[in-house]
Amino acid sequence: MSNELLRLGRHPALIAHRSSLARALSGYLRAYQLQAALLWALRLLALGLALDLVALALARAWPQLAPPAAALALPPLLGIVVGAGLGLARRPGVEWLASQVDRRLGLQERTVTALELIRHSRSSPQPPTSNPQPPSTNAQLVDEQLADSIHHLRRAEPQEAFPFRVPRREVAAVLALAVAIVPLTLIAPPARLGQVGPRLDGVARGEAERITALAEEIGREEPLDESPETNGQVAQTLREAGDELRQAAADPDRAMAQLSGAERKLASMQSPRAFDTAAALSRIADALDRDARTRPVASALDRRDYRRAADEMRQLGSRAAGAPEADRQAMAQALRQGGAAAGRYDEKLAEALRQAADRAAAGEAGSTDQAAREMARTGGQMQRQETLERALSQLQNSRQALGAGSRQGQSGSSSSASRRPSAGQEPGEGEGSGRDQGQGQRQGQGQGQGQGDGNGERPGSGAGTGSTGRTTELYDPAAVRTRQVQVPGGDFDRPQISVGDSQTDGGDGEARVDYRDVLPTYQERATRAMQDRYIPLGMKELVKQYFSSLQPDGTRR
Amino acid sequence: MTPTEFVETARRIERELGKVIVGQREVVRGVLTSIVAGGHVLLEGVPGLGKTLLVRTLAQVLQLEASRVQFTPDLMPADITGTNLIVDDGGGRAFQFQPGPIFANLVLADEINRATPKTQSALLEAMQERRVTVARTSHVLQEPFLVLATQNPIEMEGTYPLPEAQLDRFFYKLNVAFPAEDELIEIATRTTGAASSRVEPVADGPTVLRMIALARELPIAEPVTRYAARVVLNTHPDQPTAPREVKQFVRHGASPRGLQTLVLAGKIRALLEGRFNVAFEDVREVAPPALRHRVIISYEGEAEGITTDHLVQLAIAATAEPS
Repeated sequence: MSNELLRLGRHPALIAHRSSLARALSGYLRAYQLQAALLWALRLLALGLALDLVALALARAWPQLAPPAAALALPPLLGIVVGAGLGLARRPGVEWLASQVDRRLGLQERTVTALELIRHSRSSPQPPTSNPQPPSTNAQLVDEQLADSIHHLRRAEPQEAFPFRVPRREVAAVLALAVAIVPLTLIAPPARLGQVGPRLDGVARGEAERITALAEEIGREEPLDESPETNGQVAQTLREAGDELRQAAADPDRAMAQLSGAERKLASMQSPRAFDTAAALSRIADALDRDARTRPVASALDRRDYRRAADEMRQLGSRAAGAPEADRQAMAQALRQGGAAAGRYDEKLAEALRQAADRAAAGEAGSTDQAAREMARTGGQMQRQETLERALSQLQNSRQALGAGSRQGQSGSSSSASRRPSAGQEPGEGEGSGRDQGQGQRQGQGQGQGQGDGNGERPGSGAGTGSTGRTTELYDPAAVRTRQVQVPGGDFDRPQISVGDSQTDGGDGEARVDYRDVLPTYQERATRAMQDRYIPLGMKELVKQYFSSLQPDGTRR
Repeated sequence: MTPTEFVETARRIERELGKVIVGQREVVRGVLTSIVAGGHVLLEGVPGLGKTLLVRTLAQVLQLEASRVQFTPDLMPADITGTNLIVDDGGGRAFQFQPGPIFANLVLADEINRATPKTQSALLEAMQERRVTVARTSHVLQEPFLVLATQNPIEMEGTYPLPEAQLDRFFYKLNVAFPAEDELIEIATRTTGAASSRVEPVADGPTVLRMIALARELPIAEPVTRYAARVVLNTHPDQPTAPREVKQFVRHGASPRGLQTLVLAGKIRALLEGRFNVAFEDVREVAPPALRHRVIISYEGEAEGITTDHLVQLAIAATAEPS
């Protein structure tokens, strides 16, 4: 600006004043720049805080976007620096500056007039076309006017025109934004996100690895039946679930939703006849287990090695062809019993067994081939169902693990209750010690201590987590038709069990072994099955409740 | 004349006038401004407020020749301008121009609206042209030349209101207000005692002419001129920036003469205030006397009792200062 003014003015009356005017206006320019620097620093600071506010708000919706503390500090700091630089770099027009000085100091257009006098004097040899009339041609008046203007400019301080004071509007905006940011930072501070997030994140990632590993294992398995695409579908669903769980690792609600979705998808793939298939195989195994000649088939079925079971069934036919009459009849009897036991659940398999029994009794070669094929088919269905159950069980376990991790992470937060999934079934689990082991559990809300004394010698105790709600559709054993199992006494490894249909209203069979002797074994088997097989959470609870109800008085909870 | 001498002379004139004229500071300042601007003044007020005394005192202070014409319906143009009379010059009779009362430095045209338009026109033509033509002979009026015309606003019967075009030729229109109580007491004290106030001459015709020349050379910045132009434009009802009342109640806005008056009066006010440049404030201050007779109110405005002073103030308020 000084140079600009110094270029102005060739009139002798102006030469003495132009430098003074330039110096005076330069001082006002610096004051203006300082004011602008403060103003723009505050404005861009407000902008930086607004960005922080948006980032924190987004981080509450998507925790993975939570910025670190350093990133939060960057926009405001950058805003201050850039704003101050912008303000200091401002170069307003000299006419604008003069009019502002006149207006702010009440100089009654002295500075503007002085500036115009200098400008017209400079251009006097070639008058400008826009305003050819100079403000004055009276040298004395011009001299007086300039002297008067400079006198007034010098008498005032530049800070009076452009005071270095904090602009209220911008400060109010900064304070408002800061006030808005504070609760967001306190409720979900970056430090806390850095502690709780990784913990939950680690659980979710671990579960995702397990799900993916199971998917790979299922994908490698060779299916028995003619529909091998099932394994591929299950593996693919598990892989997708694992990937989605990794992506939603920091968001427990979303992770739970992903797992639930995968569970529903797998559950829809289950065969409605799965129970019948399992029952048929189970009954056949029981029947074939009674004779030593057919027991290898039963053993393979017990081991769920359906391929082996089919092979053993085929070899049984070969052996029957060369066996004595008594052996053939015994084999045929076992096969008939198996067919009779399975008839209610799988007619084709039952018919194949009956035909196999007849042909084996006659000593025909390959008498059991058809039964072996049917067994392979049924085993394939069973294997597919078991694959689905393994997958469902894994997803269920992962969901439980995530739920536990989320509760731990949110235990210190007052707002955690509203964020917790409200689905109300959580299994009650606990262990206690009775004679050797006990079972304690509780249905209800919150946690409870289980007490049990099993067979009574030592009191048992256990801790359990109760169901938090939805138990309206309780399983009622008395209302459904069940099968009565009669357990004969003797070696439990080779129990003689007779099976028949009856109502559970006391039954008409005669117990041959005190149920308290076999209860722990069955209970252990059921517990293991609940861990390995897919059983809906509510049903698990019912199973435990059932065994608890069987406990002798004094050990129930 | 230097600016300092200008200011000093003007202040002395005001001081001397203040010895005789009680109160009426705005009228005195307005008349002085008109003299220095070389314009004419229309004074509006009831009789007996010292208008004639003001002209006579001003003539004494400025050592100027003054005359007074009482306008009546039978007043003829020649009664103002003068006429050729047959005179005996010794060798025979000849026509000789006999100057009328207009041939003075200060002319008081009392109750100008009582004369016929023909007579009014003769005076107003002389005011504008500063010359009188009688029998194909032009007679230049002496400088400085100032007409102070008066109007009585309460006796309108038998009057001939001045047409707008002729009103525009007056530099200022000043409203002579009735004195306040203290001023009335002061008037009574001064005029009913034995002693009479004496004024000293502080200037003369050439001095007034130099003051006129100096005032015109006072610098005015382009934004201030632009501001004055915007004020004038805002008195026009067809301007988009004009206030709502102006659009509703004004028939004609101020003429370019109004802008000239604003600038020139602004320069004189700045000088009288001891400043060497014109400010926005100067324009605002001189706008009412400069524009009030140049803004023509519509019949609707007159029916509503709207005054031109109010409209001028609205136009000023609606005008933004150029940055």
